[in-house]
Amino acid sequence: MYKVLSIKYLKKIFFLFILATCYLLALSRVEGLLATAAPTAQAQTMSNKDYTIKTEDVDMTSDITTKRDYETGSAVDNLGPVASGEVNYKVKTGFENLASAHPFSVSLSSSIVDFGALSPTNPIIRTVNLNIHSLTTYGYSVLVFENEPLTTTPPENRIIIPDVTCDNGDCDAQNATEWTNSLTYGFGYRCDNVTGTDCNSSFSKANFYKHFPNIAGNDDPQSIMSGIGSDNKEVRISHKVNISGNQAQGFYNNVITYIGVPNF
Amino acid sequence: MKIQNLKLKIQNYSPKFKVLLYVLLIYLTFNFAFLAFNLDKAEASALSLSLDPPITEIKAIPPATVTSPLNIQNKGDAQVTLQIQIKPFKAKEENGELAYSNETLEILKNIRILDANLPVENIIIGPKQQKNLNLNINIPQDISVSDYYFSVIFISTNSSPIESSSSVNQIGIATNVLLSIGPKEIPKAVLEEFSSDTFFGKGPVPFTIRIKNEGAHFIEPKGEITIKNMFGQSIGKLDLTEVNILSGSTRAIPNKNSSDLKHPIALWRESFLLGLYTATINISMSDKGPIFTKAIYFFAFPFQVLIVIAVITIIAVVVKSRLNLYMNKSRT
Repeated sequence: MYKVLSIKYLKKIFFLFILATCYLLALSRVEGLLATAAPTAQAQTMSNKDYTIKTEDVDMTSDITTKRDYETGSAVDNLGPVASGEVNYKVKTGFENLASAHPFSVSLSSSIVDFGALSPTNPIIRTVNLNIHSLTTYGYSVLVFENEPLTTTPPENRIIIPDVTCDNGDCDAQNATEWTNSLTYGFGYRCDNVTGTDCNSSFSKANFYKHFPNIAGNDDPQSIMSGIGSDNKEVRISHKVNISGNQAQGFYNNVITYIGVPNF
Repeated sequence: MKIQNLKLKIQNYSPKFKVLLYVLLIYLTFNFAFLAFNLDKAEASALSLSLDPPITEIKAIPPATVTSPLNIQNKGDAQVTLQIQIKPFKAKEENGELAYSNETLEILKNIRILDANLPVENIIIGPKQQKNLNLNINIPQDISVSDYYFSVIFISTNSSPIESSSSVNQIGIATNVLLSIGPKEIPKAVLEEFSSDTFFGKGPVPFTIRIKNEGAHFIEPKGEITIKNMFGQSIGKLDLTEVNILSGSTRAIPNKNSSDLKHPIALWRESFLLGLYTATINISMSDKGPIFTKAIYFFAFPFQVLIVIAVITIIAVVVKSRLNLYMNKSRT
């Protein structure tokens, strides 16, 4: 009797649990949707001491509003560049035939590249994917740099893993060369095309690596990928680190920055 | 008494239900831990940003206070803090790519990013949220008449130390501003190159157009290439992309829908070509000129097609003569 009752009871608990999980999932989804839906109002405001112009992205055809002291054009999805002008200045935004509904965007698959525990002469390679969505017919590039080489944390007793110079000692922040030898130590990266062919051409050969430009060492940011056209472009960036037996134990960290830059 | 009853109930369960109960308890415990202590905070998250417009062109006569909108969106699933930087740039190559410079421009101290009319240096954007900002430039009366080119860059500031060796990734996105200060002037520019090969076996035909801007302000030439055949008939037209040419720089101009960033060319996609052709460029440096016109000539002869036709003709003649011979033999 007890057994039958308790089975029923358990079934009810299980049913309620499933129901609660579904509810939580649905709630989180709704919150996400609300968050997505919230920013769709895209009013644009241009102002000066004498006037304020507001343009809103609404579903209607292109229009031009003209008044005595200014002229401004607004377009659906900004299919033409928006221009506004007053007596002493004129502003034009966007590119011709570039819809602002699909703006220039850049995405990175992970905010951290975790190398885990480093062991001598055992190269570790970790990847992240970089995605560019650019409807510009003017092209773009992605610049990359590091704040410093991989450095111990905390940095009081500053020890670094040097940036790699590859097997022949010739690779640097601009030129890539082969790195396959497990006795070549350092930290470097390479770029492989996933969608499109926008990786820097210096990575066209397999196992060719460079090291990140070091901003602390006055290196200039370097282009890791560049291209043109309306498609999504995706690359895979492989970060490789290899240490020698003499490398001090510890946690080594740095910051790598990727900046998506549209061409002018 | 109740507790004893409960113990009895549990003891009466079959082993299958005991296992189910334990699994359920473990699952609930993990769920509680994740919800209560937000353990996923330590996980790496994807970063995604978009920015509109990609470029802002401003022409102003001092004094002026210019305001223009910037809309940035966090397309990722986690909140991001973005640091705002303003960096001057110059033309890197002839294809519109830029290179940042470390020079300190006088105008930079007069540039602010406004969030709800308040200047900001950092902004926080929630997941899937958009922020409408304003670029504000105060141009004083005594500023030197010149062009200023700079990017407004939004860079995520991640600080997620973990107990292992790692690289923290930051993502940034830039929008370019071309600020031209001073009265409008007639552009000083040179058509440095309008060229193509002189002989083609077949199409397409690439044209190289390079213009050097020798003036003090950036220009945006508008132009087209018209192609005529040897009978003077217009058989092709290429609309050139309206690109910005910075002061003191040279830029190669492609036609619309060009797909080669490294070598911008205007491509006439005509496959069959025969005879002498004339390509004429008409390009205006501004609405009020100057207009450059230049014609070049190229000759096309489809050798491959001709060889194929010749081979087919020879085969046909040989077959025909053989047939005639065979017919004559059969008659006799």
